[in-house]
Amino acid sequence: MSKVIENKITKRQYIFILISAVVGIGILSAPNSICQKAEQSGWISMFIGCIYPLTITYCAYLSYKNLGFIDFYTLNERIYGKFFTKIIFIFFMLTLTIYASSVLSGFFNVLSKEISFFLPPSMIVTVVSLTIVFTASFGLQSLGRLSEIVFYFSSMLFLFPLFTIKKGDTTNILPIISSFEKIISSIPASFYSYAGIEISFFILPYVVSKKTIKNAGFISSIIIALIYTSLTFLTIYYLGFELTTKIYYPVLFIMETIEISIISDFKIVFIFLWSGIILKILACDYFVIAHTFSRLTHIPYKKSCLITWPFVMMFTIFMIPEHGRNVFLDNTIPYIVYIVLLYSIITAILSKLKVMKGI
Amino acid sequence: MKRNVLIILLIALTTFTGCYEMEPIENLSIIIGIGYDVQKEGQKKIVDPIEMFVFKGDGEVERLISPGIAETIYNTINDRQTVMSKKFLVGTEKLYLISREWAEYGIEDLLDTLVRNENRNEIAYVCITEGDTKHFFSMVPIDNTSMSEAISGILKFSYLANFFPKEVTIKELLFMYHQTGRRIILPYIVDDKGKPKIAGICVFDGAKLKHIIPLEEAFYINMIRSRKSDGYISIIKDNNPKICYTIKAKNYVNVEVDYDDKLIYTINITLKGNLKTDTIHNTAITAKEAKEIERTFEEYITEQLNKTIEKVQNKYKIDCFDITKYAAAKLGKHSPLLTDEEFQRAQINVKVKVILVDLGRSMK
Repeated sequence: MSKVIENKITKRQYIFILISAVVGIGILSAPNSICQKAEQSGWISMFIGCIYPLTITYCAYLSYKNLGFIDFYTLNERIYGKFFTKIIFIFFMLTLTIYASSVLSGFFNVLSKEISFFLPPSMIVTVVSLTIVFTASFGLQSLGRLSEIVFYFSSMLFLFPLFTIKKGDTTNILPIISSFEKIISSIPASFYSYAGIEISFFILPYVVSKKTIKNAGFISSIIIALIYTSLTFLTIYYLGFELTTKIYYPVLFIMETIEISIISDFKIVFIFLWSGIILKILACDYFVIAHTFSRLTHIPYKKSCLITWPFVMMFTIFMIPEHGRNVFLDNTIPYIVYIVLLYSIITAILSKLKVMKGI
Repeated sequence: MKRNVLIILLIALTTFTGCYEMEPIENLSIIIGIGYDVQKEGQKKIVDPIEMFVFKGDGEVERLISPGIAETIYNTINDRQTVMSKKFLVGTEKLYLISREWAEYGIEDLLDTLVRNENRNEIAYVCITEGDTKHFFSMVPIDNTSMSEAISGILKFSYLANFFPKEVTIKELLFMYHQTGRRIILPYIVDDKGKPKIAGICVFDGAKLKHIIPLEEAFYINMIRSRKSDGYISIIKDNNPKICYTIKAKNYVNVEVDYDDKLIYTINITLKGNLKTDTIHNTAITAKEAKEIERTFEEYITEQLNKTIEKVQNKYKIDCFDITKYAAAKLGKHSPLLTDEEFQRAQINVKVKVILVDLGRSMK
């Protein structure tokens, strides 16, 4: 436990951890979920949806700024008291467990369907989750370095969909705005793609340079929003919203249609690079799970990494059927998102009041 | 702890993973072409002949055609596997052939399978055949190793003439079916003295084949529906083929939509081309004469296009030009004006502009 507190990350690593904690399975499935209601204007809703990460990161910054950059557990204790802090931590632990296991089961689904259908399912989940435990057990500092390096390598992943610019059809995205109601009503659907930004609360106190931290959340939110918006836009531009809403992973469909003379199926190259991103997001989520668990039970961080592993495995196996997973997430994610939004705003306000009272 | 996890990982990775239950290449057959026919006598059963490569050892590769007969697409596998001595893999196919009878019966099941089954190859070529697809697979390939390669080659390079669009693939089939305001239009292949030949285009209504349009009319329909394809146009004078103009042109199309009691489409076609033959002028071509040639072609093509548009609106009665999508882009994807009735009533204006980029090296 004490080891984690000694861990320090730079501002740049903070930005990259935020990006890697959010951008994951959403790269493949975000256009699908957003186009269900918003149709060809889905990319606009996607961009407006970035108010969610912006609010969370800014509220996190405000809370810490008001109370001095103390530990998240102590911060909650000072605002809410001991009992509520435990509830909040259990809530975050469950939330991140849901995120991590949904990403892991989605990753498993893509792998088993698309490339490694000859591997036994239990093997994929076990090996991947053990790799995650192994990575997360190194602590926050290694996570920051990993996020930064892997982002540089895998950022070319976001360039592949650009090839559709030449092949798409402008009639697919016109008329740009058909109805404002549809755009507004599908903004909450974009929040799931941005879920994971809650990690900001946990890692912000460990950033070294506290003076320039203010715009870090803003930068990472905008980068994430740009990645998602451009992907959604290009997907609609190439496939049309009708086909986008019919396929679970429309971006993979695009990758399959890339013709390169030497490579018979470009999808496999894409999944290989994308796996790096998935391992990164899982490691970030797992860090929070283990961190909250160790704080709740006073078990050292490294041991809690192993202890929480069965829970995550259990959730993952429960979420593996794609249709069941979608139903479960559709019924839980909106509530989680609103609770987190409410919590962060209230925390920011209460921390301000606390400071004013203290004066 | 770290060491324990590492040891568990290493043991798991080395012992529990691997290509179990995988077959060596001698026991596999590689699918290269899939066909769909309707059984002649009987209850509309699907006959699904596939062309595949089989490996016999010593580097010997042979092609084999094996049909399966059943009621649904995947039940044909049940039937085929009872006679096949190899395991076969989907995903390497290069060509889908659909017989005319089966297309008239409907291809909804195939369209759903193509979206649902992620192992299918989205960049395989697809076309409609006259008669049984098995007949086409069992032809003798001349310049290829298999008929699937031969026919997919024909489709791949069809855009070099007749203004055929560049993509005749499965993904384009899915786009045409799903996108608002579009319909499936595929090339039609016939048997020409034992060789496959493109003889026209097939226009679908939903998932059912509606019309087959011969190549002479399809030439001008293609000119409107495709982008940046090539075609050769000639004007013959006095019924003497020796006295003619010929240009090779690339088409650039821009469609504007208006609504005033009925839909008004304005189709601007720009043909950028080279002069290939000119046996009418006997002197060197000046700027004025070049303009004159351009104007002659503009008049000729406009006349032909108007004739084609009239025929499509009155005879075929459905949008073969792929222009309803522009109305959908302008008026919204759920507009009530995207029906076939509105298309028949619509006023379609064509503005053709021919630009001769190059007059050739001849001085004359």
